[in-house]
Amino acid sequence: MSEGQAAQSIELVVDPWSEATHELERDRDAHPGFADVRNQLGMIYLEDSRPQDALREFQAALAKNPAYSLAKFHYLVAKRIHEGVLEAEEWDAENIIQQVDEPQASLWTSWYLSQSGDVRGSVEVLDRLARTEPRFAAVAHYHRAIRSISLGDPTAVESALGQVSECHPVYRRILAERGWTGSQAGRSIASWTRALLGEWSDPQTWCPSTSPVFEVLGTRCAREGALEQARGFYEDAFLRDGAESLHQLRISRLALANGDEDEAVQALRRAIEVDPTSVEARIALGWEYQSQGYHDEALVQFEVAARLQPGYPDVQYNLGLLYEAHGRARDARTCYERALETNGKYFQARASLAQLLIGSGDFEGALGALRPLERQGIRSADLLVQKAEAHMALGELEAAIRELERAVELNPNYPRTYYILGQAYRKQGWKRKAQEAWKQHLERTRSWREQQPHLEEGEWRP
Amino acid sequence: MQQTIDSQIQARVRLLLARKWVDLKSLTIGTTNGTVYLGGGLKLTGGKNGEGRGGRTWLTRLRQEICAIPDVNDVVFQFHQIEEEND
Repeated sequence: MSEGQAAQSIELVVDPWSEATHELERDRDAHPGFADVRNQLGMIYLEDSRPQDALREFQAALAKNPAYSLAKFHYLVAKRIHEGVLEAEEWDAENIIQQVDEPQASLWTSWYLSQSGDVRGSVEVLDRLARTEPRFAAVAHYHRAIRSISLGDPTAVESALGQVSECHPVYRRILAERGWTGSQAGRSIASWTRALLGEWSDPQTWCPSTSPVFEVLGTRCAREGALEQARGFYEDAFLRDGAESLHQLRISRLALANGDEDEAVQALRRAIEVDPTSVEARIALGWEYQSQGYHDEALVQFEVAARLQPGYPDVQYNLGLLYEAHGRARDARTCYERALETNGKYFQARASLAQLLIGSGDFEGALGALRPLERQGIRSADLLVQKAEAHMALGELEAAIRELERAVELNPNYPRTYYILGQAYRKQGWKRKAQEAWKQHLERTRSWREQQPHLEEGEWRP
Repeated sequence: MQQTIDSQIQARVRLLLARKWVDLKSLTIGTTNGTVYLGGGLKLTGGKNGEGRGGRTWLTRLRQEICAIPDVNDVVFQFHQIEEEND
């Protein structure tokens, strides 16, 4: 192997634990007052067997936000692991589980009961969750399997995993890939621990709420191109939280990164099937459809996303773009205006609104829409060309030419500037200058072959 | 029709960024008349000599890749928040 090849191989090695930890530490140092960053960092310390560091971060998170239930729970977990302390008064006084929904409420309660020695109570809580909320049955049985590992009961582990496999196909597939084949009497507890928890987790102190750590690790690997390693971490996250819609979203991004758009679409459809309210999945699927030419299907996804989250400016803006593509200018205008109502600095919505107003003949309106963009420091040749178009339509030719000359200065390669400049010169009666500008336009535009025969009815030719 | 082209460009830019694992939640993306606008917060992840995600070299490469999308005429970056990591 040459020196160059060796160096390349070294660069490809991904240590997601240390990279993710360093990234979060830098986030914490940059934003020491962000409770969620401290909580995330605490979680990764906790999973990386650094309970003392974890405890410090959870305390800091709670100092910033005393009502942060996830940080409260993690604080108790870290204290239990680091100091061996678990006080009933603290758990009761914190009233943590009343602040969270299922399945977290049952999973956390089960953890507390198991740590306080009430093993039967711990398992009963999980059984009750599986019975009363069938959509959480798989995650409840999975956590029961982990509790059984900590009790050293391989028969109970096998029984719990059998139930997990019966009630959820994704769990069944992941467990099969990790060595679960249905009936495995005689398999040791150590072997189950390795298969289900990996090398790093201790079933005695296993925390039920750290799936975000594995998502962070997966994304870290994926960014570096280690897609299979990423998939493994994403599966760890899913096994812990059972949130299939989120899992399918992650899988869709892996598929996209791998160039497999069909798998991405399949995963996104599944994400919506299991959680029809997932705005994120609908937006992602909408763009997939749009890029593949299924414009009507894309529009449907964005319309549903906008109904689910009408105050989300990103959804409104993108729906506006699709309405424009469908020739529905009035609906598009409403969307752009809604996006700007929620986020007045959404400059893309302002630029699209201005262009739409020009197209509908409201030139004063367009200039009004464009005015705040300069104050925001948005510099683009297209925005100057839009202003020029509006001025020209209002008969303000000198102002139009001034804006166009600024556009040329800002980006001499933007083809539309020259096209509009040609029109402005023609209106001034400067035929030669107009022809020169149109020639410049053709030289810069990629579609010059198609445009050449028709441009300004051939008037561009000297 | 320019509006159809713009929505098509928008979809391709989104997919390009998703493939690069850019956090789309903190970004705003727009397309008008073939000009692509990227704004919002871009989180950087280090790398030497600006080669890491969000570094100068990385951004230049991103600009080139967006420009290579059919019918893109211009790319404008206007990030209000760039969080930089130091190696």
